Amino acid sequence: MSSQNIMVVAVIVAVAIAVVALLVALLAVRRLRQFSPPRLSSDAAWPETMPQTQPSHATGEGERAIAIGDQSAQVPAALQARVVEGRVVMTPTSRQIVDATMGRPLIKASILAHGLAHALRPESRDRIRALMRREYNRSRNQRRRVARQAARTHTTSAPTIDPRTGSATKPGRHAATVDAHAWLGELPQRPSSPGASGRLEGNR
Amino acid sequence: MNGRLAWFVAGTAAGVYSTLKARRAVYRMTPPGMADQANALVSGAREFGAQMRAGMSVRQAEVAADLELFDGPLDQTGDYTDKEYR
Repeated sequence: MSSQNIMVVAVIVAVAIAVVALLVALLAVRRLRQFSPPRLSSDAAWPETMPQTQPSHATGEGERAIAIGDQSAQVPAALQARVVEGRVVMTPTSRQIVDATMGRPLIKASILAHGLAHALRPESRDRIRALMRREYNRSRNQRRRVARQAARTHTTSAPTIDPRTGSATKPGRHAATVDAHAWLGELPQRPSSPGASGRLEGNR
Repeated sequence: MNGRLAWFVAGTAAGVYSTLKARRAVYRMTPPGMADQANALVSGAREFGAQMRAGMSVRQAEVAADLELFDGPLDQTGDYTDKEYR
């Protein structure tokens, strides 16, 4: 057996050991999560909003209520933790039930699917299309209006200084160039006044 | 004579229409046209997200009502607007 074959076998064995170790680690993490204590609600006001219900069943033999911290004085008897056959049983609150239900993957998928269906229904679809078309037409019309105004101002005004080259330009000489630059430029935040000095800085 | 006039009008209308369409198509290919399309797309995506969140909140309220644990409305973020639980 050559050394290359030995190396290949060693690599394969190492990969197999690594995969097995990864699986064992994943299983261990899942087991640990199963044994982790239930997450209490972070809502600080929940004891005040708890329903003041009477215990629906009497504490039988083998059951005894235990106090967790300072909650024994605030939590109703029906919601107190108790030990049943060596296991701690805690009655979940309404908030915990709702949170747990909302966090289930199928419920999440259902909510997401309902949202998608709501957004893709014909009414919403047409509204979104109309909104996009209006936005596009508004931007295009504003750009054309600015370009026309720039061209008109430039052709009817006195010679100005070209901001790009710094040279003086005669009226109407570079109207097409100015028009193209204004057309290709950024939209202004607010339309410039028609009585401007004729410089292009106001339209850019 | 009427036939020639009709053809003239039809050709003129077709020319005007095709010119308009061609200019708009050319504008779409330019950088400002693409910027306008991108802005419109962003607006559409924002509206789509708002519609989707509204539908999700409706579904969340339905699920909570099915649980018969909570009968309060949900806000846009999916959280409860008031913290009153039954």
